[in-house]
Amino acid sequence: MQERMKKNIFLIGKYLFFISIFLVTLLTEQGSAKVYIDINAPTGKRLPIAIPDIKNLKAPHESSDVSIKLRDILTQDLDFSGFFDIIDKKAYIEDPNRTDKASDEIDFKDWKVINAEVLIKGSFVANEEELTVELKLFDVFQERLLVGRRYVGKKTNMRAMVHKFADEVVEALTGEKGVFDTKLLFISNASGNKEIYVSDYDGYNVKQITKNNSINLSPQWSPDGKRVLYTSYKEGQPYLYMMELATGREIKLSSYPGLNIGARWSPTGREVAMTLSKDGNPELYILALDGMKLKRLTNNWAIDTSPTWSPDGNKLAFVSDIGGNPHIYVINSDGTGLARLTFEGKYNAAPAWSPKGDKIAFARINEGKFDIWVMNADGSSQLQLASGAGDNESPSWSPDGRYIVFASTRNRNAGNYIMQNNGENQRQIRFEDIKRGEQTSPTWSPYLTANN
Amino acid sequence: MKANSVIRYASMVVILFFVAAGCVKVVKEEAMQKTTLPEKQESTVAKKEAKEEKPAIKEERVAEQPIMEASKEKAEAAVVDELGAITEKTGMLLTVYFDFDRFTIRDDMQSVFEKNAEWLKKNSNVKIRIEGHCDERGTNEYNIALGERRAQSIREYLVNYGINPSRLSTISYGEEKPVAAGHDEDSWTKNRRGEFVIVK
Repeated sequence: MQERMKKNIFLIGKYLFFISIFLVTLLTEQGSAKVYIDINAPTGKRLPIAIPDIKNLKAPHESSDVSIKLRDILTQDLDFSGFFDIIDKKAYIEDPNRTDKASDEIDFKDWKVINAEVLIKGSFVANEEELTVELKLFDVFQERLLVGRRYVGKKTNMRAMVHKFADEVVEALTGEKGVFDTKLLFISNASGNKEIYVSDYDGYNVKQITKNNSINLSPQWSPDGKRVLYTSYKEGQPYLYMMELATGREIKLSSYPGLNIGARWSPTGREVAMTLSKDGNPELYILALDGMKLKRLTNNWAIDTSPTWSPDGNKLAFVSDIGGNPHIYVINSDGTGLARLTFEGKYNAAPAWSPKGDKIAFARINEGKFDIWVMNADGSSQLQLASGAGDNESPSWSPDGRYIVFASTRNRNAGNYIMQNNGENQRQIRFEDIKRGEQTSPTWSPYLTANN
Repeated sequence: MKANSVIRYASMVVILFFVAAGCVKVVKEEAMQKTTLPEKQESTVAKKEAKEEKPAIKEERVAEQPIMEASKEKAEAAVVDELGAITEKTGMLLTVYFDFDRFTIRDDMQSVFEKNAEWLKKNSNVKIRIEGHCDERGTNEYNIALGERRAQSIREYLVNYGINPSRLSTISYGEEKPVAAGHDEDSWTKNRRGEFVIVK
């Protein structure tokens, strides 16, 4: 009897599973039927979008802080993406007090007239602590829903809710998920010492993760986004540490005499490439985390540091001054196939391999100051991205490869900036609650899952 | 038997649901399932943050002042060094300066080495740590490596002057401990240096 019960429950499960797959397929087809924004187009056309006020369902006629905040977060995300032209609210002709109609009933004519191609409508219910937000993306001309989501959670998670929806909007319109729900690691000396911090991609929800009053450097995300690698002088010498973000627990990973710096997780997370000088001179090594076995990659008189893995894990680009000045080189992860990628500029450093594997971003001294450059992974087509006042250094890619975060002294004190991967739309990240000091070494997280 | 009717009931519900509900509602269902987990997780993170926020801000203000003063003092010490005076700060030993991205000893540093070697010979029981430093340009990582090369260059040079290598240890701070805080050539010149600290 029990056996049979089990079997039946299994069948129900299977049935529901297939149904849900079917539904998901339907939805996906609906979403990808039309390409709204071609991300590969050389000059991206901006899609006109209308975002009327997010309606407070408890008091539809009153404006509220929550309503303003929700819309602000959404417009900031979408504006940042560079894909949208957000139509000024003043141009909207729809009567915002039309409360007799359910929110699903939209007079699309009102939006066609002002040339909006897509429209986001939203509503929320808030009490003391809880917040329920419903957001919907519509195609104005086809008069249909593209994405609809409801988020329920604590009010304090308001930003995360809107970021998740903005991710969905970008996915529905470009075919690839947005990066609004990702995070940054960075260094700030706001406390008087260089400590490691984490924040949302837009500088909100700042949290200090090291508090050792020492020098902490080169924070790096594990591929699963759960752990951080960094070098710290907290025991006097530059040793390598690994911290679990959720618990703050950490272990000392490498403490050889001399340098233990520039560590980067391999794409699988099972190895770490780093620079050690235990044999007298800074060389690249790969440390296998399972068994802590070391494999030496370079063997020369020069400085070899700042490795960056190709996404397939087969190659590493790094900085070496073996040619007299720092330049970018590439080597296979088995130590063979050393090749030089840069020849121009008297200082090339900080290589960052793009998530899709086709590009390497780096910093180059040109006319006396550092700027961000990008090249194909084979060294061809070298192109300057960030320029202007001050030094621009430390590029790091967003997980979708569409954006680059970097450090710049353009406004005198070093801060972190984000731009599109073609150099457009450069803007400073204003870190919440950090009003002083210098912010450097930004590193963009991978896509984060529910367990982060 | 009972289980069978459960299946039937469930199937009917699912089919009814599918027929009656438009795609909009299905999306909602889907979305709510998707988002329940992360929301929970984040709320605990948010709570932690809220708890830690206050002490973090307090810590900032206390620590900022001494650092500024310390770097000012050190900057003054560096200027004195350039004039050839001997300061307490560097352990009776003169700071060695370097060119950008170089760890070779400059010709104009010869006299500095002569004085330093002389002092080390007179005080033969003293052990020193040589600290390599860089200016802020370039990556922190490359600069730590460069600072180590600078410290090692100084060490080798002193050994050539007849100083016992066992008295000389090295460490690099890269660009992390500037004596001058500016973002200009004037500051950079002062920051590309090797300093000496008496260990014992």
